[in-house]
Amino acid sequence: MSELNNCILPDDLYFSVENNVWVRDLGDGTVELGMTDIAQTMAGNIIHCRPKKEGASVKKGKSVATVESGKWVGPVKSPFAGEVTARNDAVESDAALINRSPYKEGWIVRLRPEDVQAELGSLLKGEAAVEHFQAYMSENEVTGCIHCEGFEG
Amino acid sequence: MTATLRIFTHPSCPRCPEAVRRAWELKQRRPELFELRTVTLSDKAGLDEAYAENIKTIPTLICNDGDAEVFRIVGTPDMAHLEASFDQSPRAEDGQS
Repeated sequence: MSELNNCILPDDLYFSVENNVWVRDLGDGTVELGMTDIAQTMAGNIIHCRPKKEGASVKKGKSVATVESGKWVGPVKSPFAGEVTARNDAVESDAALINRSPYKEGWIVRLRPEDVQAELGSLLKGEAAVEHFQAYMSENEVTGCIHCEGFEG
Repeated sequence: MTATLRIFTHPSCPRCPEAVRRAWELKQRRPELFELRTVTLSDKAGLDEAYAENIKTIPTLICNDGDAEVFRIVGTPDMAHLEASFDQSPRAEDGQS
């Protein structure tokens, strides 16, 4: 697991720095997607999350969920096109799960892209992700990540 | 010298208000124990101070006697734990609390 100014970036995940999301290859042609530790810190205390419904089609760069925090309302964007195969109802009923467990319990949707391996090839992993997020954090004046008590990663 | 208890918090942290409340209650009951200061990580000065202290989780409570750190509690302590941290600290053993 990599850590950047207290921001956790798991080495087994793929990242879209532009959209500040992580992607997990589920091995069956689908992927799981959620907000990064950096994204949940920037959002602040998340109070609402509404993922798209199962069966919905998503275009590249478009929203898979709407998130509202105390200081921000905005979309969680997918780095590729696909069909929503599952939505995490838990984050709709307890949006703070995204703050507490952004990479585990706080996943937002599962998607089926047309070509998983090709899409994952366009994302970053490991050291490359860390380097790009370092630049991203500098550009956005994000000093580091804040983890509240109970944070599970 | 009176000890200083700093509580590192953030507005988005759901348990931070409870940690502050407990420290305040203890100070009301035993005002001689410490001076209380909250440090919010919502501004740069607070973030810089938190990084200088290697804070990774909030709330974190740090008790200092001058420049020396006496104890540190990560998370929200119950009142007994908080009070015992003062009573069992080296300062208490020296008769300074």
